Amino acid sequence: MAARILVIDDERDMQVYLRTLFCRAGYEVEVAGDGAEGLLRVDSFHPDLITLDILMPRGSGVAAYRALREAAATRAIPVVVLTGLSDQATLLRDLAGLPPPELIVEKPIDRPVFLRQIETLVGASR
Amino acid sequence: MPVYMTVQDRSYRILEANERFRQDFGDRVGEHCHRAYKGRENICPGCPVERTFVDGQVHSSEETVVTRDGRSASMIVHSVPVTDEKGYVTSVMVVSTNITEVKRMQRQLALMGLAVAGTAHRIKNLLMGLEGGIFVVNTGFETRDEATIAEGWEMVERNVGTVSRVVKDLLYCSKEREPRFAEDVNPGAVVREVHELFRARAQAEGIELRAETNTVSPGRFDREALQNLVTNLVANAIDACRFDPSPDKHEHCVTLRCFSTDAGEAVIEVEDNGVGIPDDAEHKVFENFFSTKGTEGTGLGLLVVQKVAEEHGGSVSYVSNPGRGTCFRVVLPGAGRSQ
Repeated sequence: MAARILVIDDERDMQVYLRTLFCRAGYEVEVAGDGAEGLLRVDSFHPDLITLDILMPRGSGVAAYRALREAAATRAIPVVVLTGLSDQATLLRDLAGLPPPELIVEKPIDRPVFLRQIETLVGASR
Repeated sequence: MPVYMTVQDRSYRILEANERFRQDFGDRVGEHCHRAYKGRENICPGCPVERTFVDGQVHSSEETVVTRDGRSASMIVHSVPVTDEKGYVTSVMVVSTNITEVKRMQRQLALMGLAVAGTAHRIKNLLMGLEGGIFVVNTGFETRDEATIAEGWEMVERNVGTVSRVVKDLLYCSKEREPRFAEDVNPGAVVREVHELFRARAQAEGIELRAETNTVSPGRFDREALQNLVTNLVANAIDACRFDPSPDKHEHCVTLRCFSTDAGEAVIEVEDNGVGIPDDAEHKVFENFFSTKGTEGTGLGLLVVQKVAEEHGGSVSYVSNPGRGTCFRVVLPGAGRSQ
């Protein structure tokens, strides 16, 4: 069975891009447009990995990260945080006190490197 | 650069003044210099004239003064002793150079430098969007999936659209575009148009967009530039609401206002109850890409706003309360730009 990746991102471009990228690499993909929707999908989709845009409207990225890390059922799912360079400082401040994400990827994404990293993380979590 | 010369006695009264001083400050001979230059009742702190009277040496300082028409000006001030034959300092000559324009140009240059760096960053993101779009289109071709091709093409189009907005804003910030003033432009009508343009988009984000416009007399304004100014302020305000993490606000609202002051100036205000400007970002507001991740704004927005306001002889200011919201206010001369 194909490994499952949940993409949580509010930007349409990133949703389309990541879904296409992961589907083409053979993953099963679902997309959620904000943090709350993402948490619902986690329960129904049972992803092996989650990519999360931390900076989303109404703080829903940070809230989702917190919820994922605090719940015993989701704590072990690897989370890849995608961020623009200028968001680094905000990111570290917002996530203070929580275990760090398994991977932080700065945009622009280097496709081959990114896919190898994803493969490794998915392999370890399954 | 205008240079002012005055001679003061030991009680700081002006004995002589050059023509340029009289032009910009009025006939102030006989008055205290602190009153003539700054409207102060007492001697200014760190007064170079006082120091010259004490030690007979040349002193200098940088001062902010107010001219007769109420404008503030930056000055480099030198105080030079005037002595009698015994070497006693009888009076002090003050030579002040008005460096307001130099300072403005310095600021402008610094802003342009920051804008260039910010634009490079923004273009990098747009290129990524374009490259992503092309990747999706190619994937669609390879798998013969028309829906994927359409999605990828939409990405390309969206990003090209943003490129054109960034370029438009860059042109506004540069000398490329000369202002095009026209008679009978109504700022209130411009505000209402932008309100119409954004209302549905804001509503889709759960943000109420209100317009409160009173009668403002039409004047000589650059219509397109004003439109750009209001558009940028509204785009920023919408972003400020979209990225507001506050869970206790039931509804977000952006209010556009246009009204006349008692003095006859035209005021445009855009107020939001969004995230507010964090204290550490405040100094960057007019200077940088203050969009942390704005998707409506191009990042150059406030530079555009400032430039348009200045071209009209107006000014921009704002009040912000982190976590509570921000209100930007643009004040323009009521009749618009004089010929």
